[in-house]
Amino acid sequence: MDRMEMLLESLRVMGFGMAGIFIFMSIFFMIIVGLNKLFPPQKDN
Amino acid sequence: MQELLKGISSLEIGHLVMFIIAGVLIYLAVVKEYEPMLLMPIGFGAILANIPLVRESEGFVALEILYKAGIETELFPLLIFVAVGAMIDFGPLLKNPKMLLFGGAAQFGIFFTMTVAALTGLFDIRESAAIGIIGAADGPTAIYVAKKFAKDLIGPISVAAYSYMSLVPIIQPPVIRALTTLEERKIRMEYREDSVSKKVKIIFPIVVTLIAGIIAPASVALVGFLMFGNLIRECGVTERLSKSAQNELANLVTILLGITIGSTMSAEKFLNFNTLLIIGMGLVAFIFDTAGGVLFAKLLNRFSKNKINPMVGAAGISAFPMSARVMQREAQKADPTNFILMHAVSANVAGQIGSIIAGGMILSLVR
Repeated sequence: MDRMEMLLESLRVMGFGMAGIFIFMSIFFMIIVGLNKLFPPQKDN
Repeated sequence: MQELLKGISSLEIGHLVMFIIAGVLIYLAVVKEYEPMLLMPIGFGAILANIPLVRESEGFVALEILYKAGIETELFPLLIFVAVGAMIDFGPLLKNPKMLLFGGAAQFGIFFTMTVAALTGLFDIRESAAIGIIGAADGPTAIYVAKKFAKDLIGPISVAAYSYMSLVPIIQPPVIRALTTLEERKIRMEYREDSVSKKVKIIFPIVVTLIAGIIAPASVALVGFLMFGNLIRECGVTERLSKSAQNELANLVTILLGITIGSTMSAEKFLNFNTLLIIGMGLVAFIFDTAGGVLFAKLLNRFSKNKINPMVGAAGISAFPMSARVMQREAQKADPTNFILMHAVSANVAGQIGSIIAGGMILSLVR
């Protein structure tokens, strides 16, 4: 791989990597919101 | 007599330099208390690895066995994840899940540094990714990825990761001050003292493992071991296991991991220009992690009614709880009555999830 190919490859990983992290975090966000709605703390008591 | 002098006559300048480097690591651990649990065993391991003719001795076989059993198989970093999982309380994040976004944004330094490393032309794409992962601010993830992509660079990558994690109080504040105004650092954030159901705390690690494993199978070991540790903490019926994971397991594996990593730092592998570059790029990674978190918080503030103190974004790195504490200290420098600690802790816990997801992403995407 020459430098230009390396740059393009690392930018691809950056783009998909950051997007992937935000997708995961958004899914986890929705899961937490959903779980908190399903199991509100007062129901434990 | 000649046998006795063989060791002395085999001593080279590289060995002496490595003894000095090992001494500095032990000094930082003992005197400055910078990540002493890791830097001390790493420093001592580096001494062992550079004693002349040591590799021909039977004593070194023990370290080689540890390396093969614990690092080549990736067992040590994964066991550390069980211990870390048992130590993490996801409660602050479960109360304030918006902070997950900062745990994502503050991983930017990983990818930026990977690009910089690739541009130097000195490292291939896999090595560049392993160097970038220093920015995960998460030692076990850095070791895990480095083992997969750049076995020969494990020593410098581990030293850089653990050193910069301990230097977070020195690295982050100047970056934050450069990117924020005093008014932004004074922003107050409302905090509600909600509680979280125990059921949520139990279901969360299971669901996260399932989703991460199904979407990105490469991340399943990292996420699964961390979440397993957390499950034995939260389920309430395995207190002994949880305590063992937090204490005995964490301590034992830390000792073995540290000395084994140190034993890879032989002069011929460690003393080169690339090591200096890796140490330098580790700093770049931490700077751009911080910048990523701060700038993302500023971006959100453009669209949000409830303003976020941008320093909370910088707490989205994995160095827990140091980064959250640093943000609280900086907030009080700007306004002594401001209290952002709980938000910063939530972002910091999110950073722990973000760093392993980033590790999984790197493992999935880099060919």
